[in-house]
Amino acid sequence: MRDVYVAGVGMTPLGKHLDKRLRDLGRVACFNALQDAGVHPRDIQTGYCGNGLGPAIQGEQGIGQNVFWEVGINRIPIINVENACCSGATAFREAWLSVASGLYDVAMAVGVEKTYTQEGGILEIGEADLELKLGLVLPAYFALVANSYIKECGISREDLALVAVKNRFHGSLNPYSQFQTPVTIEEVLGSPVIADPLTRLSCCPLSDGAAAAVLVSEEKAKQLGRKHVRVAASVLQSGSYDNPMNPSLWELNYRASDEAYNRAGLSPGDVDLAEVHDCFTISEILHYESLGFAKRGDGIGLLKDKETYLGGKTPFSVSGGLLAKGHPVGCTGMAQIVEIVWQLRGEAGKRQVPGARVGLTHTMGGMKEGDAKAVAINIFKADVAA
Amino acid sequence: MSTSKGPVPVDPSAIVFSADGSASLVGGKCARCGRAFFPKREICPLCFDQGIVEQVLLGPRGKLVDFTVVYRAPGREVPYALGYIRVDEGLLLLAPLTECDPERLAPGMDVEIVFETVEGPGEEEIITFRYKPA
Repeated sequence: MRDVYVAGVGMTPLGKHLDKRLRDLGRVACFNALQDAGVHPRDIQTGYCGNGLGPAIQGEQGIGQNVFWEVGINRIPIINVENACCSGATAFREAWLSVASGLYDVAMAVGVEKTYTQEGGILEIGEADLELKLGLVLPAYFALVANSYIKECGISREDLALVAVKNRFHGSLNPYSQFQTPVTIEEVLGSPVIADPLTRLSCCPLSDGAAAAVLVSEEKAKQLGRKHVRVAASVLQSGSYDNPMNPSLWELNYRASDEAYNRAGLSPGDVDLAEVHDCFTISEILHYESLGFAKRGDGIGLLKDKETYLGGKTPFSVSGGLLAKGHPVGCTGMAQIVEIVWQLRGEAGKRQVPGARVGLTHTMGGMKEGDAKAVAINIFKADVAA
Repeated sequence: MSTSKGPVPVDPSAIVFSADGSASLVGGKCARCGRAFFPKREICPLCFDQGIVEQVLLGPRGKLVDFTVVYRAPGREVPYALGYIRVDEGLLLLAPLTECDPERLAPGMDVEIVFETVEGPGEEEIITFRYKPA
């Protein structure tokens, strides 16, 4: 397997885009990424489009071909990728594999989603599923995770709220973030309860958006002559679906992060910042632990000690994360990747992590029998292709 | 005039009816390795073509492990409570609860299944289940 570089990235601001179609959002992200890479659309040799809900919400299929043709990409292998909330990151991983394998030199990955409908409310995906029929809407599942973890590890509701406070603060520094204002613990805890203990501000919002990247071989990266970011590891895993399981321990995250660190030849201590799947406040605390930054039960300490704040030892979710920046399902993984690339290039403005050389993205998707369906972990390293 | 075919189980693979009409949850157990599953499945992941997954009726009792009360769920009647329940064979089940006052629920409490017929989103009747404090 050969080295793969991210030559260019681009994204739309995340938020409410009622007047835009999926392909309109995708066009902006792809155009920005191509321009950033200095690559013409005709040079893209294969494309992957991550989207979770287009067929269900927009009634649209084959979204990749629609998005890529908007920027003039046609006549190449285009693959539509669905892995729930991990669709975008899965698209990236497949694009990485297509170049790492040697089959292609220039690939493109885009993630795009519109979950804002006129009705608003909570997403109900997968109505055929027994657990959803029984009432397991997404916030309820994560509320069960939270209560199980609280019972085992003894954190408080204020502890949970800190995740939202931190990430809303980070989001206020990010022009691409859906939410641009900070919130207090009182506001988080005082917002309406969705599923106890999770309040509205403990949950990520409905969002629209798109994010894209151009991936190239080392030789192509040299030809393009820009400062590049190398993919040190790109890992995809599925869950175990064992029964019984620990309701608040996602073992697939532990397994995937071990694999990612091994493949990259790095350890948690090497990571300068992480963009993780903070769909609900409880999630980020669990990710500190499964990604190797704290032992089971100790995650909250990193937050209270401000280690995971911008300015701390290992900032998490400096983009604002899913909680503040937004969570357009199939776009999210790609948006995390765009953020890390900007950070490793020193282009992240007010939310820049000084001297960032190694960044990690972590994206989860789907729920199945108390487990997740997918997780993708990418580790990026700032290299200069000489 | 109603053209209903009669009530249908919320998941036909998860609920069976005895000769006397009483309902049970049904799981599976591999005759070769003893591993238990809910709902019942066709193939044992460990034993594959050497395994035989047999039907196992789950008893009515269990212990509540964790729960949450849902207060906002568009299109659904709220509040309602959901719990993880540990049942026979050590399986952990997700199920709604009959009780949604958090003061009257506690991890570790004994619970018992109740089957009910409810109205589905269309005009159909659905046989489903909840657990009540025992």
